[in-house]
Amino acid sequence: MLIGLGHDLQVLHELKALEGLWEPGVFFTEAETDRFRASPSPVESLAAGFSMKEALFKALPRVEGWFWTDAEVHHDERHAPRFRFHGALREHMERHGWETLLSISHSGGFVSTVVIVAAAARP
Amino acid sequence: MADTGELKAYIQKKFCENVGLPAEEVFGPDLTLAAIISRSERMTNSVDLMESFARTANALRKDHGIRIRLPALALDTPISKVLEVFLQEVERSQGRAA
Repeated sequence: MLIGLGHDLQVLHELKALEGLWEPGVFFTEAETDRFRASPSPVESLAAGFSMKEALFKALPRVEGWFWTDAEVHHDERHAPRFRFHGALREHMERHGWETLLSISHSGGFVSTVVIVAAAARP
Repeated sequence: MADTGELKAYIQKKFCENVGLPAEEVFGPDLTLAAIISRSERMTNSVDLMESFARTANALRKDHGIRIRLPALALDTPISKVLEVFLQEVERSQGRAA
């Protein structure tokens, strides 16, 4: 069952001057900022990370008491991005049986992300 | 170690420096995050807002050795609520360090 849908669009050139968001443990986890810095295009990777979290925020019904580092983006064995949840957000997602679907595209200086939050089917 | 009142004033000062608005204009009427974005000439969207919060958090770490995480809050949230969560994070950080 669909719980929510979120879309986000980021313009890469607007993110080039950012400094604060690169600090680990503030908006992104240390694993995320390490991955951005190691990528061929660090700013594009950071933009993608930001866009995915923004799209998730829009897709979620209002959930109190979570932090941006509670929604950590990682890549599965096919290199597709996925969320790994922590803290209050993890508890909320598990309690309600919610899961996320994530799609991201990079093109022409833009990063676009769609996130769906759905309730897992129960027997 | 700075007390809670000093840290509250420090956070207010640093955030207002980052958004380019006077403290009385932001915290006086207790603006929402959306209103702060619309009034600040330095900000156009939520990336700019998060960057301002992140710079405030980073200044807190550099000047006071306190690490805080940024809360995920809707744009209709008043700035007093953000400040409250920041101070809770300060307490959490200091409790961990003790």
